[in-house]
Amino acid sequence: MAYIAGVDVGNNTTEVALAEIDGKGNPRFLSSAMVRTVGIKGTLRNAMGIIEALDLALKPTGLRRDQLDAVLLNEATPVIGDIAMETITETVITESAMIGHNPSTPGGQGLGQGRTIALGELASSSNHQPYIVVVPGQVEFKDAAAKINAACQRGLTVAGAIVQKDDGVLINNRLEQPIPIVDEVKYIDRVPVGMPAAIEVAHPGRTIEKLCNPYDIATLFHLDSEDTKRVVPIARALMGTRSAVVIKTPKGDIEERRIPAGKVTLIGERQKAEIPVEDGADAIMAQLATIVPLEEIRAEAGTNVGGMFEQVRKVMADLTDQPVSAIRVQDIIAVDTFKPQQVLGALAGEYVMGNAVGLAAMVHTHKLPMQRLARKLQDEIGVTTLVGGVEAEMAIRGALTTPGTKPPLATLDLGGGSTDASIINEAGEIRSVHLAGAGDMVTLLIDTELGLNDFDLAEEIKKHPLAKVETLFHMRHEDGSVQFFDKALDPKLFGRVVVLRDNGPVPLETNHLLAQIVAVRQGAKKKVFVRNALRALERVAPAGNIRLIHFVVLVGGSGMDFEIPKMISDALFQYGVVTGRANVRGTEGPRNAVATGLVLAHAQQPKGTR
Amino acid sequence: MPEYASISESRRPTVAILVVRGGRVDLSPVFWGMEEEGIPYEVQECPAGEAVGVAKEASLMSPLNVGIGVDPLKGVIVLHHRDLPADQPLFVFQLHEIGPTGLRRLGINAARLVKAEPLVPAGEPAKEDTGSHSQSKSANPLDEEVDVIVQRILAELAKA
Repeated sequence: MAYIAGVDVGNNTTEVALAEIDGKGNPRFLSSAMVRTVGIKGTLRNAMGIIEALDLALKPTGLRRDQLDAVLLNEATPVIGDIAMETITETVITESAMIGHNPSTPGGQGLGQGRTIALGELASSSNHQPYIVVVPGQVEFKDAAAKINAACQRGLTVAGAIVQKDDGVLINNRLEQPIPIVDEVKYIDRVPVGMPAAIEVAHPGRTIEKLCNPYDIATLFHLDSEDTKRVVPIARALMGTRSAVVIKTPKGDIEERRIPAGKVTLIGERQKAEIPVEDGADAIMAQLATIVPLEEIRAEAGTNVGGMFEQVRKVMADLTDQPVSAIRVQDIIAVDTFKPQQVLGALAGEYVMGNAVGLAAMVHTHKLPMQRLARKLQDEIGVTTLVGGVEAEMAIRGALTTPGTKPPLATLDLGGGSTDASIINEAGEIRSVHLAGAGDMVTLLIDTELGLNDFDLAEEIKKHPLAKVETLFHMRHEDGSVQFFDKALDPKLFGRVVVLRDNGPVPLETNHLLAQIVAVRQGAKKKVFVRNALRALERVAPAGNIRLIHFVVLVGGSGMDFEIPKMISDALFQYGVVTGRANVRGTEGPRNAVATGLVLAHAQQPKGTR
Repeated sequence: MPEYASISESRRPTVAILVVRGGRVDLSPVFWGMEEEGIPYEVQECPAGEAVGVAKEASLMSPLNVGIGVDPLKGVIVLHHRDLPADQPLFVFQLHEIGPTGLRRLGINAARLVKAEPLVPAGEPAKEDTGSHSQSKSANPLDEEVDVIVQRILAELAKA
């Protein structure tokens, strides 16, 4: 009889399966444990996490470390990925020419047109053209309203107002003639005076109709066809807002530029192709699919993509004690995305959605120095430590303990840095593939598209469902169900969209609607996980045909996600594949597959070699 | 108390504001805050009581379930909601501490409580986007003085 511990060091977690093996080589599993991995996978620092996990697994069994007969480490897959974002379009507006934003309470409604004029100048003006009044923050709303009323009584036409403070409704309520008012314009001093301007405020619940249409802008400002082309970025940026101002400035210019983002070179065994990143993700992925087998991907030096490639290669080189020149990037995934960008010269923090390409790259080398880690662990705990079995094979063995499965079976491991797929056929032969792009890429897309600039918050949004706090005592979940609370919720959460983390809800400080955030989250998961799942399965499937795989099980952390298993299942359903989350040993769920596989492989070896 | 009855009978959708008799207080900023957010309100005097209790009573009278209680003598203003326990109001402020900006924010928050929109947190300007000098000056008369002194010193230095 022997006590054996299988240890799986992953990018994020270190898992242990503890078993007792009888004289005939039959294992009986005693316990499992999981802790966060300490250090980068494959480095000596991992030992700390391993010892912690071992102790955790030993505790319920009452065994001591020195009673273990062997500790088995996985031959960790030497795969490292990294991600980057490349903006490929930007909008530059020289001289402020537009204000398009959503103050929560603009005043009045309708469309007004006239020349901009400072509120102070109104009294001394006698010109009978229509005016758009600019009201700076130091003016009280009552004074502003009185001055506008006085001007109207003198026969002047005031067609609208641009206000710095949140006073739009207050001013409008005190006017004899209601006018559209855009308020909360932060940089009011940048609004040029004496210029033709148009202002539009929509009914509550609707969005502006005129100022987001280039032809309406052309009509209002008598633009020719060339100028109309140039206002397109403005019109696009104003789409969907409740209120907007457009000002025509003589020297003002608007330009939508494509930013050269560098080139990617795909080198195959026989062909070679070069694609500029600004061509977009679809172009890159289409080209990638035609180059088989792919040997290496290079990126132009001095660009963001180039920098990212260098970083991945350097980390891998350090880890494996190889020169950087020996490390090659072997897979990339490119995803089209949008990035909200501040408009240069904005008056109220306006932004436009710029196009961007998200990229994930992956390098793969021969071996991580797991032997070195095994020696260190053996020195520290005094137990024989072996490196047993390749990770992908062990994962399959572990996954096959899921009730209801048999070969041919494929596993999908959607991790943080890479998407891995393996397949075992009836003859017991195993094939596996590692692709760039997984959880971290999804987080990056969420972070970018929502403009959060907070990777940790984006990670929380990825992992947990959302809810909207509707009253102090209840929230509506994203599926429409309502949850009531005995105690009042924190006023900080009131009226906000919240992420339902395990340790309590966190409010999101964005103006996005719940449905928009859900759409971004699910879109990101589909773009990365579903696409990569299909890409990976095609590579390992017999004859590249996913239909010939009968069972697919999801293993690893992403199998625990609240919506990924369903998305993958939906995508694979049309191929007639049974897809589901693994249930390792019938008890562990999608976790512990590799650790379990290590113990099983060890137990099945002939006794002498054990 | 007949004067309350008139509010609840009319059932106009309003935020109820009850002011304890005695003392003087200018609540205009509270009203402006609600007006800007588009929520109507009704003000009543009540003969006696303390701010929290009166605020709770106001919230019970309000068809929108939101009430504000003011005790000018003690200088306290309270925002309450019908569903909250009587002794646990949403916000309690000292009038002299929050000033006109704070009163306006309280009015905005009372309206947003009705509309189920995110509240404006205390300690920040009434709106994140109105970062004008004027507001910080009016909120902090001391800063204004310091500004004047600084300007004077700079002018003196320039002369020298």
